[in-house]
Amino acid sequence: MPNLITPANRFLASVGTVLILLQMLLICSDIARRSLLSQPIPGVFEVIELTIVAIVFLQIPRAIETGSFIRSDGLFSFTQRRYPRLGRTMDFAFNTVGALVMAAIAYGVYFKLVQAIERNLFTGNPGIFTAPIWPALLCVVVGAVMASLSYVTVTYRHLKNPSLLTGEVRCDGH
Amino acid sequence: AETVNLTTVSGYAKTAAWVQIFEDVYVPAVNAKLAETGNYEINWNYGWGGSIVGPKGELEAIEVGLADIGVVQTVFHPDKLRVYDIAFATPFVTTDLDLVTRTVNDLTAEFPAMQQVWSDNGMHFLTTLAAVDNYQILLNGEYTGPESLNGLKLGGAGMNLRYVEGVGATGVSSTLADFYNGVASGLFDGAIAWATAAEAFKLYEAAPTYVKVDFGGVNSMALSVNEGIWEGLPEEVQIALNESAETYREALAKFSMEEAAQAIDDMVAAGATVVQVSQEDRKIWADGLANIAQEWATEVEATGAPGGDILDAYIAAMKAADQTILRDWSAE
Amino acid sequence: MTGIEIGIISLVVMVVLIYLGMHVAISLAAVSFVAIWVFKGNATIAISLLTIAAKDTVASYSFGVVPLFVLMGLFVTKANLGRDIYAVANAAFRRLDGGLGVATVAANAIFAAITGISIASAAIFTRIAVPEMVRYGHTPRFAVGVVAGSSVLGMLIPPSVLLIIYALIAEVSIAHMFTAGILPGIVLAFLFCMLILMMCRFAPGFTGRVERLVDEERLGLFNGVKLLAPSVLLIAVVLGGIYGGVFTPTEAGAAGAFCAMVIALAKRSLDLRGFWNILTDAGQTTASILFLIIAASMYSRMLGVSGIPSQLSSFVGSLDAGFAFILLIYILLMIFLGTILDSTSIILVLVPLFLPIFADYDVNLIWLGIITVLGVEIGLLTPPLGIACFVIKGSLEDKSISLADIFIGAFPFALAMVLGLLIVIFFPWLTLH
Ligand code: NA
Ligand code: NA
Repeated sequence: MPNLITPANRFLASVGTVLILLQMLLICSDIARRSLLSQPIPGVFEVIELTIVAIVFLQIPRAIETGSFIRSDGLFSFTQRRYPRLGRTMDFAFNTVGALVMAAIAYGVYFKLVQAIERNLFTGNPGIFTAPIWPALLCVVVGAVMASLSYVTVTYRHLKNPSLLTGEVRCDGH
Repeated sequence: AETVNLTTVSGYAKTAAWVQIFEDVYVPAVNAKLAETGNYEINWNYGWGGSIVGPKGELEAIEVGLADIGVVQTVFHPDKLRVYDIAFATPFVTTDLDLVTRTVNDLTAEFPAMQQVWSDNGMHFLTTLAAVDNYQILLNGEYTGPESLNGLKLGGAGMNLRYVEGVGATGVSSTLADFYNGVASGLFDGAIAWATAAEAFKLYEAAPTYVKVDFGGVNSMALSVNEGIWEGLPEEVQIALNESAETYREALAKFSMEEAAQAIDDMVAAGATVVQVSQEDRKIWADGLANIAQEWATEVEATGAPGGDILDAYIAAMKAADQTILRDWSAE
Repeated sequence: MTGIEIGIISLVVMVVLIYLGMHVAISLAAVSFVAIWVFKGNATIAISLLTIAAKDTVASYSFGVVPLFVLMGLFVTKANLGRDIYAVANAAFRRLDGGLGVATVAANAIFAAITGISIASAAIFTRIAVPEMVRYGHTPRFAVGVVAGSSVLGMLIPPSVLLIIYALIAEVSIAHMFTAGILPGIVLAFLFCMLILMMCRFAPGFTGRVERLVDEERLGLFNGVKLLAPSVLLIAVVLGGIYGGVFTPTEAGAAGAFCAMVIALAKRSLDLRGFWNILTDAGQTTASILFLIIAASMYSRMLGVSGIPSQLSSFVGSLDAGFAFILLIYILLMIFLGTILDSTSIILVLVPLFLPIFADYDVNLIWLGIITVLGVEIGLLTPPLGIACFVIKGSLEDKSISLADIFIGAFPFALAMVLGLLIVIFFPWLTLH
C-alpha cells in the first residue's frame, strides 16, 4: 500500500502541473485575442478561479510526502537528534493531526461535491459563460484523501526506518 | 430578558451601504420591537468584511451555520438563486429600487418556488435588497450616439455584460475594483457601473463621460437566516426580525437612490460630463438586445419554477406602477 | 467559553505547536477546527469552516496567477538571467561592500512595479537572488533576510493588492493610493540599502564577505550589456504590457512566464525534461504556499465567528482618547495582529473598525492607507506567522536554511520598516501630491 502512494501522488501532481501550463496558455491567448481581435475569451476569470483550487489540492499529497510543507524545524530537528524517542512520538502525533485535518477537509468537501453534481452547480453567468464546479471539488476531495494517506505513509516510513528522521528532517519516498 | 446570540455575515465591510444600514436601521428596529415586551434581547456579533467569509461566501456561511443571519448576494449565485435575477434580466423597465424590491418580495410571497430556493439552501428568506440604483456607462472618450460605442471594450460584471451587445460593444468580464486601472491603462474604453460605485471608485477620473443610458435598477441581495436557527427562535423574535426586514429594505432602497443623486452631483463637480441618452436611442438600444428576459425565464423553468409566469407578474406590477417600460419583455 | 478566551487560548496553543515543529498550516487548521468546535459545540460547523476555507480562500484570480509568477521566476533562473544580473551587479558594485544586497533591493523595487502581491516577489527572488548571493560569499541568513525585507516593496510600490483592498474599504481613489505608495516605497528601498551597507561594514560576521571571483572581475561594458539584454527585454515586455494597456498586473504573471520561457528556449537552456521539472517545481512550491494561506484564513475566520473583531471594535470605540493615542493603538494592534494573521485579513478586520473613529479627527485617508499597509507588512517578517518568511522557506532549494535563520535574517529589515513607518508618520507629504 505505501508503495502505491508515491506513483499515485506523482500522477496527481502531474495533472496539477499540466493545469498550470494550461493556465498560462489560456491567459496568454486571452490577452492576444483581446488586443488583436477585440474578442476576449469568455470565462477566463471563472476557469482560473476553479483551476487554482484544483492545482493546490492535486499538488499537496506529493508536497507532504516529500516533506516540503513549511514548518519551523529548529526545535524539531534538535529533538530528533537529542531525544530520538520523544522526536518520533512528536513526529507521529503531528502526522496524525495532519492526517485528521486532511480527512476532515475531504469529508466536508465530499458533501459539497455530491451537492454540486446533483444540483448542477456552476460558476459564471448564464448566457455568457458557465462552468460546472464539480471537477474542481473532485480534485479537492481526491487531493485531501491522498494527503491524509500521505501523512499516514510518512509516519509508517519513519516507524520502519527511524534514520529518515534524524539529521535530515526531509523524508523522500524513495 | 432572555439573550439570543446572533452572528451576522456579509463579505463587505461597514462602508457598504447594506452593512451600514443593517447596523443603523435594522438592528435598532429589531431591538426596539423586542424592547416593547422585554422578553428577549439580541446579542449581535457582527461578522462583516471578510472576517467570516468574503463576498459570495455568505450563502454557504449561513447555510452551514457559521453565521446565523446575513446579506446574501443573490446575483453571485445564478446556479442556486437564478430566479432572483429578474430585474437584471429586464433592463429599461424601472429605476425605482423601492418598487423593485417590494415587487420581488410580493412575487416571493405569491410563488412558492421562490421560497423553495431558500429552503433548498438551508435558509429562511426575510427580504430582498437593492443598492444598484441604475446601471450606466462611463467612457473615457466622447459619446455622440449609440454608434460611438461600436467596437469599444467595456468592463462589466455578470449579466450587465449583455446590455452592450446590441450596440456593437464588447463587454469584458472584470470586477468593480479593476475598472479604474483597466480604463486608465487602456485595457477598456469604459465600464458599466452605477453612480454610487462610479463615484466611490473614482471611475470618472479615468472615464469622465457619464453616459446616462438608464438601464435600470436591480435587486442583487437578500436578507436571510439559517433555517435551523430560524426554527429554533421564539416566535416573538421571529416576528421582530421579519417585520424589521421591511424597514431595512425600504431604508436601503431610499438611501441608495439618494446617494446616487448625490454621487452624480459630486462627479459633475469633479469634472465629469453627464450625457443623457435620448429616449429614441434608448428605445433602439432596448430593441437591439437579445430577449434576455425570455432566456432567463427558460432557464428558471428548467429548474422547475414558473419563470414565464413570474416574468409576466413582474412586468404587470411595473405597468401597474406606471413605469416607462421601453421594452415589454413579457409580451414576446 | 467566551470569544476572547477562545482567542487567547487558541493563540497560545498555535504558537506552541508551530515552534514544536508541526507543519504551520496543519497547526493553524487544527487549532481553528477545535476552537470552533468548542465555541459552537458542534463538530459539523467546525468541518464546514475547514471546507469553506479550503475551497473558497484561494479561488480568486489574483491567487490563481501565483503559480505563473513562480513559474516566471523559475524560467528566469533556468535561463541564467539571475546569474547574469548578479555578475553585472557584482562587477558594477565590486568596490562596495554589500553591493549585491543593494542590487537585490533595486531589482525587487523594479519587480514591485510588475507584481501586486509580496508573496510573488518573495518566491521569485528566493530562487534568483539567494543562490547567487550565497555563491558570492554572503551567509544564507543574510541572503534570505535581504530577500524577505525587499519583498515587502511589492505591496508598497504600485500595483498592489493591499493598496486596492484598503482603497475599497476606505473609499478613496485607487489611483491616489497608488501614487501615494511610490515615494514611501523608494524611501523604504533606500533604508534597506543603507541597512545592508552598514551591516556589511559593521557586522561582516553576520553578512559574510563577498569573494572577488577573478574571471568575472574584468567584465567589459559590451559583455555587461550582452548579459543584461534578455533581462531588460523581459522587464520591458512586462512593464510595457501593463502600462501600455495590453494586460493587467494580474495577467502579467502569465505573460511574464511565457516571455521568460521563450528567452530560456532561445538561450538553449531548456530541454523537455528541464521544462517539466520546472513546471512540477512551480506546482509544488505554489501548493505549500497557498495551502498555508488557506490555513491562515481558517484561523482568521475562526476569530470572526467567535466575535473577536466585534468585541475589539466596541472596546476601542469606548476609549475616549486623543488622535495620537488612537493612532498608536491602531499601529500597535496592526503589528500585533501581523504576528498571527495575514495582511489582507488584518486590513479587512482593522480598517473598517477604525475608520469611523479616525473620521472624528479629520485624518487624511490616503496617508492613513500607506501607514496601514506599511504597518501590516511588518508582520510579514515577524514570527510566529510571517508569510513572507514562510514563502521563502517554501521556495528555497537549499533545505538546510531553517525558518529560524530566515526570521533572524529578516529581523533587521523589520526594524528598518518600523523606521520607514515613523518617517511616513512624521512626514505626511511623502504620501501626498
Ligand atoms: Na507592486
Ligand atoms: Na508575522
